[in-house]
Amino acid sequence: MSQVVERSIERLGVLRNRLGVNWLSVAIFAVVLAYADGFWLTSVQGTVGAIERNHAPMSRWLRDSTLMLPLFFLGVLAALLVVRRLFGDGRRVALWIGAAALRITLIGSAVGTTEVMASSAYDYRLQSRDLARLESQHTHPAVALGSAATASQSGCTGTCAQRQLTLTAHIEAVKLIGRMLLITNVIAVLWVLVFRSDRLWRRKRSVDDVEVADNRLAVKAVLA
Amino acid sequence: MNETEKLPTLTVVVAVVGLLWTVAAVATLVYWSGLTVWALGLLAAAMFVWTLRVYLRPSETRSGA
Repeated sequence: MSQVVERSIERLGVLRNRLGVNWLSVAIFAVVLAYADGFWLTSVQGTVGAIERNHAPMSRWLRDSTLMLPLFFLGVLAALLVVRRLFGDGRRVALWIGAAALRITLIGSAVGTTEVMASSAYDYRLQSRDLARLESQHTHPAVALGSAATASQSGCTGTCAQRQLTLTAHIEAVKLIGRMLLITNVIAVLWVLVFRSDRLWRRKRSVDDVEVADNRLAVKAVLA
Repeated sequence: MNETEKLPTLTVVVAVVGLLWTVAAVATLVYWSGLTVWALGLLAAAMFVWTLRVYLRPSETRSGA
């Protein structure tokens, strides 16, 4: 058991060194994207979501965004690794940074959209259950307001029409939020890049760097 | 305790917390959308990858064997 743990620790150390990314930059990107996208998730929940989940929006935003943080972290990490794999060593800095911005935006938006879609699916399930319960409690069929066109076209009335309207509202919301997420992520990524663009990947330590570091240690030791 | 002893412990703690956190996030997404959607999505992705691997494989006649 202890050997397995030790081997896992060794592999972890090797992996961490081999990845060669700046972990602080990855974390900053992940936090910014997670909380920015979490805002839109909370907005969708508040607008077309189920009543059962309609708690205080601030705490909902904080909880859901924090929960999804590692997925954004992995997304940003994957984006940076893909860029390094595609473009090799960073001689053309502008190309690297542009490609990284594009990848981070796209992957971040994909994660955010998945999050919103999953949340909307849960909301729709809850709302469908509520509609079915409402129908079972009433003897007369429920009439969907504004669903005359839907009813006449597909022969779907009452609870069925209400479900269709709910589903349409969720689909439209996801489409709209998908676009908003993309725009938000572009802006967020560009802002973070302004501050961290030179620290996305960890610089490989050359022989000179090692010598300088050794000399610094030696100087410190002498001074102490 | 020197720094060489501290570093692996910290890394392991961060990795374990990160792993549990990721599992929680994925479990939440699966719970929200239902297992069926994810199962179908994984199946579709696997079929797509399989199709790409089969049809993009260089044939023997083209490789000049």
